[in-house]
Amino acid sequence: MKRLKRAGVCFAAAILLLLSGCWNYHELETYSIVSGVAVDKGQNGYKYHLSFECVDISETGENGGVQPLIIEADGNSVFDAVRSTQRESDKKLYFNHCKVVILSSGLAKEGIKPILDWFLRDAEPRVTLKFLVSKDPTAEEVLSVKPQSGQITAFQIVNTLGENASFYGSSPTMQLYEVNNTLNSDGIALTLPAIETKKAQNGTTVQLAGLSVFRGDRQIGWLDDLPSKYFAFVRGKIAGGLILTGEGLDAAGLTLEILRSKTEVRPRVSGDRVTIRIEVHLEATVGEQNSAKNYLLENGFEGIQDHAEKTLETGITGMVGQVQKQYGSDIFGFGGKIHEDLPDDWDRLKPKWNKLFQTVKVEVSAEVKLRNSARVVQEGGK
Amino acid sequence: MGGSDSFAGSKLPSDSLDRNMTYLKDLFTGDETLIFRTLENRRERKTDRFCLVYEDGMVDNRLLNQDVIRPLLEFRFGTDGNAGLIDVVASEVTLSDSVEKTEDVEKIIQGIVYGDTVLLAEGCARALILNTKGWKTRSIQEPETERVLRGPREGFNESLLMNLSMLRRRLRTQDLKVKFLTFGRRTKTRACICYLNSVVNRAVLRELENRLEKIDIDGMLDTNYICELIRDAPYSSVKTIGATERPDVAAAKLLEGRVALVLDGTPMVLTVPHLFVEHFQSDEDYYLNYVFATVGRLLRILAFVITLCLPAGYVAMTTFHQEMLPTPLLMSIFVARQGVPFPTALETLLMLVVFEMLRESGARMPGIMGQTLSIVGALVIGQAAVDAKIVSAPIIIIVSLTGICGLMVPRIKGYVIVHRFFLLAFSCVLGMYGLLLGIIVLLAGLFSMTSFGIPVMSNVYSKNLQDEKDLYVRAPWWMMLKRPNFLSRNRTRQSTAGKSK
Repeated sequence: MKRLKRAGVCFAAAILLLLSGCWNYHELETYSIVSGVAVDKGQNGYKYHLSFECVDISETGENGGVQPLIIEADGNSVFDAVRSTQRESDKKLYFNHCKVVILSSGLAKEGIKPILDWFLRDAEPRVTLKFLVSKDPTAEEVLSVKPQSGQITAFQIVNTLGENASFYGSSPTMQLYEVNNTLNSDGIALTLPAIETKKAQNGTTVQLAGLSVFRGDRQIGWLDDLPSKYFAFVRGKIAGGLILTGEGLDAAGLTLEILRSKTEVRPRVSGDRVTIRIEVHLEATVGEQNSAKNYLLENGFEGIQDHAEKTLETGITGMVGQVQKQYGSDIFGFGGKIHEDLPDDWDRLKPKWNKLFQTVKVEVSAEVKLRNSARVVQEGGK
Repeated sequence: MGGSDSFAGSKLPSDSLDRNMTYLKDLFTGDETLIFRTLENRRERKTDRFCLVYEDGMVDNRLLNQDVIRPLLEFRFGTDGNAGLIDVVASEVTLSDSVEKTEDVEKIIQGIVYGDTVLLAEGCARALILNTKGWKTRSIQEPETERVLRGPREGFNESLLMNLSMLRRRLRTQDLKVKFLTFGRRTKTRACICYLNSVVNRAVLRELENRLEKIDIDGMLDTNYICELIRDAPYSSVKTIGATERPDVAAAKLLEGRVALVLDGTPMVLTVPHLFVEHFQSDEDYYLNYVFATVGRLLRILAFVITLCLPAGYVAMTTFHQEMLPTPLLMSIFVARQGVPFPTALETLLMLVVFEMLRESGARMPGIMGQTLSIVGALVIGQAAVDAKIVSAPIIIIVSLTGICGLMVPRIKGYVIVHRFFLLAFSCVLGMYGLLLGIIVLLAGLFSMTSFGIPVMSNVYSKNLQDEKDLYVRAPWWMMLKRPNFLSRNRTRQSTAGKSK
């Protein structure tokens, strides 16, 4: 009896321990690694047309055997399209290493929430998946461009996004979870990086093209390169990049490189009058002095700082005004900030925030600190 | 230690030399190395007859000739009877450091077979056992398995007394206690327990003595016999008894409060209790700068983890959790896997077995054939197998890394080999979850293991900082003021704290 009991305990333990794992043994080479997905409107009665860029690896061949393989499929849901690839592909599509999802503008204008669901729900795609909107008519065009470096367009795009954030700052990356969080929060609207194809000397290539602006989950327009950069300042998403400044006609005489940047947004509410104060604290160095005038000698650090501060202030004010007027969508998250800092006021303002946003008064103050001038010629030595 | 062929209690049959000789000859029938040398001394008008009995090759012949035979022939014995003859020989004639007078046949036999000479005299019912041991032993050499770059180079050899002398030379104190035992019904192997009386943990000593008492075996050729007979968990592959060939290591362990067991005929000296961390402690740790020693020890611990978990981790990552691999790495493994006929799990298992075969053949093979092995191993199994797409290149890397790390911790070899396959089996079925489950099982096993009442992981979970100073790091000597808590009674190692500069 005791023996039987012991055997029972062992059996129960074995079942509990062994069956709770994921029995998901799968050899690597039976997968087709998806690097990027393009989502377009479907034709012939289908709702979606999806293009998957897969990494096709063969043992030999040029380029280290890595080649892109575009698989296209139609479907009435995203998952449907994903699985209907299995009619032609001998390997199961594998999304764990998928880097980017490119949405066509046409689809984005109709709302992206239905598309997001599968990417969020399925076990394979990661929440760090990066989302972009294609400025070209279809997203597929972007994905099927031959990349400049390497073989896989999706890898190039994701690297470009990363380098852009560190050294240019025009298209802040949005990952799947951020997209979802933004869509489900009040007082902030979504922006996604925009991407477009570009004619180059030898064929076509892709480039980032600022941002696409959303209201709710529908795309309503675009922001160009420079405004996108100022947008990134407001959101505090600047990690690097340049500021072109100067005096009067010599508007780009000075180029500063951003070292560090911090932004504080402070809302003030009195009745229905909302004032937002944006303080940008910036550390920079002089990167280039492309001018006949020697700003360093004539104006010194303080002078250059003043120039840069003025440039930032007018730039940001202008951009915010443009967004208020043109789109009326709170992509800066001012509403969210009021919610955080002044929750009582927010409860009152929330129902009419869409209208109020356009009347928000914005005060921008920038504080630029030059860390060094990288001077190559001694003073007086000319 | 008795047995059916024991002569305990029986006595020499008579006081007649001839009858005693016949009796011994009968006992040793078939042993042609046994020599009976009869002598007659007629100096005082009376004939005194003696017989020397010894095993050829076991005695020092010159010593026998000069210090036993010559005095026996030249001594002028008195004329009064034969009764006191043997006493006279013992006290006045022979030049021997150890003389034992006995009539016990068992003792006589033991003396003869262990290089002593037995002297029988006419008219005496008792015999003298004279110490004339003289055989060649291996000289003192540096042990092959425990070489050091810096530190003492002496190693134990196969002679019990010589080993004890090496130990004694390092611990010149009356506090070193040495207690003799005999094992093996037929081999009658001598062994001894050594400990420092004022430091040793009494409970451990008592436990060891109790377990040794229960041993009843016919032959005892190496300390591993004892090891397996008295170990705490007979089925486990965790070592609970340490073994060393180095007198300096043995002395250090005694100083920490451990008990050593030296066995005649083997250079391997056992020490108990044996903690898990001792697998990673090298004697050289204490002879080199502590920074360097600490780096070495951390590397050894890391190597242990790698050699245990790497193959299992690789299988889990590439067949269950491909999302955990960075994309470029995934792609290169992907390329390497193209066209390989076996599943990753089988491939890993096969290559691990092949590696163990290579290692085993390397260990058993005569040295001159080493080159053949390395060529076959490296070229045929490594390169050719990858080129022929029988196995994938990453597997070779994984297995080699596993092997190299395994060679870094040779003391825990057995445990590693068994449990590497154990973890691999778990991860083949359950992926990373299985690997973690397996590791938990192993840890539970280790933490519940005791060595002579001392948990082998006791210093790992000790809250005492002094116990940690010789664990992951080797603290400088001026910081190690106390002996390990759980091992010894008297914990003070240095009473004046700190550096003496």
